[in-house]
Amino acid sequence: MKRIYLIDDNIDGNQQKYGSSFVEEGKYADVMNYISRLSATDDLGFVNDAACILMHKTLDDFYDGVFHDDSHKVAGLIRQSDGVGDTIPLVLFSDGDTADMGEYRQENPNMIYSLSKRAFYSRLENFIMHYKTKGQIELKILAYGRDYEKVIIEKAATAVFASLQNIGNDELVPVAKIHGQDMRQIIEMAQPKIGKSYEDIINGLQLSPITIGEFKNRINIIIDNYQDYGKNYYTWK
Amino acid sequence: MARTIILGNRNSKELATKIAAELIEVPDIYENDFGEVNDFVVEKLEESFDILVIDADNIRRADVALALGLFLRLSVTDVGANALVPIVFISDFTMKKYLHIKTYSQLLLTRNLFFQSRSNIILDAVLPLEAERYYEDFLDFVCVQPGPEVGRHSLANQWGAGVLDRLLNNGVSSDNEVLKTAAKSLFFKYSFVQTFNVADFLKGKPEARFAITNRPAIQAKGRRILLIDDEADKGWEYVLKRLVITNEGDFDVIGHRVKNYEAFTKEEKEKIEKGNYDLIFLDLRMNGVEEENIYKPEDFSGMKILKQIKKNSPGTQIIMFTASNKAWNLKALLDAGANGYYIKESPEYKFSLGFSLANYDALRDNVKDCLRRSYLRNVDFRIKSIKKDFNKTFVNRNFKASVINQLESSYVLLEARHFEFAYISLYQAVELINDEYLDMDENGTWFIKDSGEDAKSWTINIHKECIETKVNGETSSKYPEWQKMASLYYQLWGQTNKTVGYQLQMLINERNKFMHNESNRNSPIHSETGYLDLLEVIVTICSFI
Repeated sequence: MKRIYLIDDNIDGNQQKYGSSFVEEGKYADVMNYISRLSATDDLGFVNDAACILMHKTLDDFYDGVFHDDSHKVAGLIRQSDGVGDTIPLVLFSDGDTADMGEYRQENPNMIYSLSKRAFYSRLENFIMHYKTKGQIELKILAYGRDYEKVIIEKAATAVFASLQNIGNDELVPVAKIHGQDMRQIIEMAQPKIGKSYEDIINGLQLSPITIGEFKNRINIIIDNYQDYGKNYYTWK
Repeated sequence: MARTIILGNRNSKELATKIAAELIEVPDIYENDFGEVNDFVVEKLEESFDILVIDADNIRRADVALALGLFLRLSVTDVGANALVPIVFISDFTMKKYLHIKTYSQLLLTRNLFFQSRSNIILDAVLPLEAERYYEDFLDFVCVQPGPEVGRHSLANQWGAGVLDRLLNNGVSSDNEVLKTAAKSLFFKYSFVQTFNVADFLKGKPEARFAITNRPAIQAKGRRILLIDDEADKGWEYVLKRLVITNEGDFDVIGHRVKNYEAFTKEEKEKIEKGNYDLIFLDLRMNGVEEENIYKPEDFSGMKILKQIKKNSPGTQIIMFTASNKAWNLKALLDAGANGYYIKESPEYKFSLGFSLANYDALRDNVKDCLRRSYLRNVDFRIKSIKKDFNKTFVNRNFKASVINQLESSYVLLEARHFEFAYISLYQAVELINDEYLDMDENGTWFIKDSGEDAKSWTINIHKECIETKVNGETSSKYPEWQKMASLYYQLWGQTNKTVGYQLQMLINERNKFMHNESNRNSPIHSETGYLDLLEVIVTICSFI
């Protein structure tokens, strides 16, 4: 099993502050290497064989026995290494990043561009456990938390509802106005119990229109199912 | 017509028009302590309005949407009656989406909060919270806990310093960043509204207003203060410097963790021991979270430090600061020699305004008393110096022990504020010295043992100078103690300062008057003044032994 590499100077003691004392205690040393000091002249060969790299975005270079907060060469070198952020997943976190929802882009599923340290360390153990038990690197756990599916489907539903905002609940659904990409995400996440494909549902709405109120109700049932059970049990009629 | 405000983003404009509301756009807020939410509420919702609509789907984060309502409700002292307006929370989602959001979702369970679908908004029937029912209809439904990253010790420090700060600042938080940030947290706001009656506050009843409780600072120019607190930077340094006004550079701080006295650096020990501090403020827990599970008073770092400082210098005045309000801890502090204590108010306990005031008043009285009694440190130092010097001399061991014993006994009486008895006890040291160096021959004439020379008679002239008397020049069995001491001073030790004899006469006369019940109430014997004057003379005398 390839190893996770966590690279953080932890100068401000954020690991302890946000409940990740286990890092320095070596609790997950079987799957994760923790590196707190690196300089640009160190051998960075480990990067090529990493399961993923979790790195403090502005990692201070360490040389002459001290950290240099005006020098971040090693962080740059790691980011530029072949495959990092592509075939080798990369997560960048920082105290300067205030967002608890990771900047996780659909077009590049193997990279989180920014995430607050607080969020990162509070989710790290779940991320490692997932890797240990399932053998998969699931960056969404770091980006959105353990219940990342709920977050993703809610985000999609928010976008779909937004596309219908300001239209009365009694009116029929204007299918062309529905935010397609997010609607597709909801339907795909609602499989298999929903019983129909995205295309089937859209076609159905065009052939037999329903009111916006009814449409929102159906989406809400899926969302509530995720809240209650972690997946969908609703079948689209 | 009712004034309605809607919180959302630019997508909320159409809805705002539809319900005739004024739109205030909410910026993207990421911070977890939500200080920004507080700032937004206090700043944007200050002007009077009647209904608040929160367009939750058009606010970037669901928890922020909820937090806006919760912060508004808890901001009574900031926005007044606006905190009670009906809140209409609108969303296309069901309430279930919001109920899983920790802490902030509690807003949805309170009264006068209306969860409505955005396509079916009804504002006609929404009513505000009644001030008299603020607790029953709102606060009793809410429970806010401190964040896990802030230890109980730090919480009490931030809160306690904040309380003292408000008392010194007309009831509002001052401009200190640390205190301001702490006061904005949801937990502190939640705790704060429990310390006064909201209905009385909104009616402007003076007894409910923290603002009228302004307490004066203590002038201590020329005095030196030391604060020893590992969390001094949590606001205590700032607020104590405002409480006790010293000259620039006369308020020092040792502000890092230590587990006991030995853990201080050499420089810090020197500062404590030789810094001439009139008063030391000392925190009971000087070792952060390490001490959260300590229960025995003697195990606290501050207690160990207190004992060591008092062992080195019993006269050093120390006021302990503690978040503990347990009687046995407080008693143990006083037993260990603390000159007072201040209970750092903790948000975990709901202290009333009355308690805060009494707590402050006790602290002020304590500080004043300690500053007044800081002479004890000097007295102890002088007695120790005499003891040290005595040990270098070759005089009779029993005599040395008796004098020291007399001085130490007098100190104990002085510390216990038995000024007259302390004075008399100190005076007995004069008698011991006289007895050691003078004797009376068969004819009743006093002589100096060492030289065999007759002791002279002394008098005080009109210039308050001690001079040898021309009358007879002989001593008798009724030779007064002050003249005996004058003989030693002028004859045996060859000193020439004529005022010393005068001082001796004055001071010994005060003792005699007291013993014969003739002392008037203004006599220095009834306060520390007489003792300090007599001690000065004794220190001078002892320097020749």
